[in-house]
Amino acid sequence: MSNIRLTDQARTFEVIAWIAVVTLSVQFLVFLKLLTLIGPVAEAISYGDWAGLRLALPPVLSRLVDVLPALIYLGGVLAAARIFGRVAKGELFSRANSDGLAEVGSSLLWGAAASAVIVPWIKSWLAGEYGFAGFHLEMETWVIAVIGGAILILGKMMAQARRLQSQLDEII
Amino acid sequence: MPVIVTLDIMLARRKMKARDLAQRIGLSETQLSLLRTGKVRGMRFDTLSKLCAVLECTPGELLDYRYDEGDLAAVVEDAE
Repeated sequence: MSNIRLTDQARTFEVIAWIAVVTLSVQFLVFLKLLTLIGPVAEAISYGDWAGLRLALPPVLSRLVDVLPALIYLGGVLAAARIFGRVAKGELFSRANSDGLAEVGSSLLWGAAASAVIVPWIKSWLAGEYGFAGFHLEMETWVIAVIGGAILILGKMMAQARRLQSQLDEII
Repeated sequence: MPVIVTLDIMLARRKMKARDLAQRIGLSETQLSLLRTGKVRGMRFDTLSKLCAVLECTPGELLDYRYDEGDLAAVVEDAE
């Protein structure tokens, strides 16, 4: 694939990635409806109503926990958008890109872990059921985790390739 | 003790400027300067061939070596 075609494709994906970032961010704000939930919490705090706070806080935390995996994935999409931007400018095997790939992979892995383990555990804890809540594994979660791991390894491979290239460049 | 590049001696014998040599063998002046001062990790055989062709010499006239025990230390460590 020629560099021109690669940069054109990267530019296209960069636009798509940034649209995804904006769309996801707006969806979070709409879904969270934090302003309606935070009202009772703020009121309870201002009046020192600790019993009221104990009642008002769980729905807020539950709503935040619901979006935790998606927030983590959003971090990965942001990192991908930045990678596409750099590739579109012709920057291919740079440290920033290899670190960015590792960041994308990590966010997919952590997002999957949040979906499968962290969120169910926190929600059961908020419901007053203490102890391990078990794994909530769907096929999609497995796929996301495996692909995240693959991208993480690819990022580290790219960093290693960059070091090898640097050594080769020292041979005239 | 690393391999010593004695390119400067051959340049002086042939009364050639480094800039001209770099141009003839397809290297930048910076690269040739790094080579002359021994600040490179290695040299490709085709670069060595071009140097020999332009300077009309053999590789032995461009490179020198003096034995040092430390040169084998890395090999022994790797073997272990």
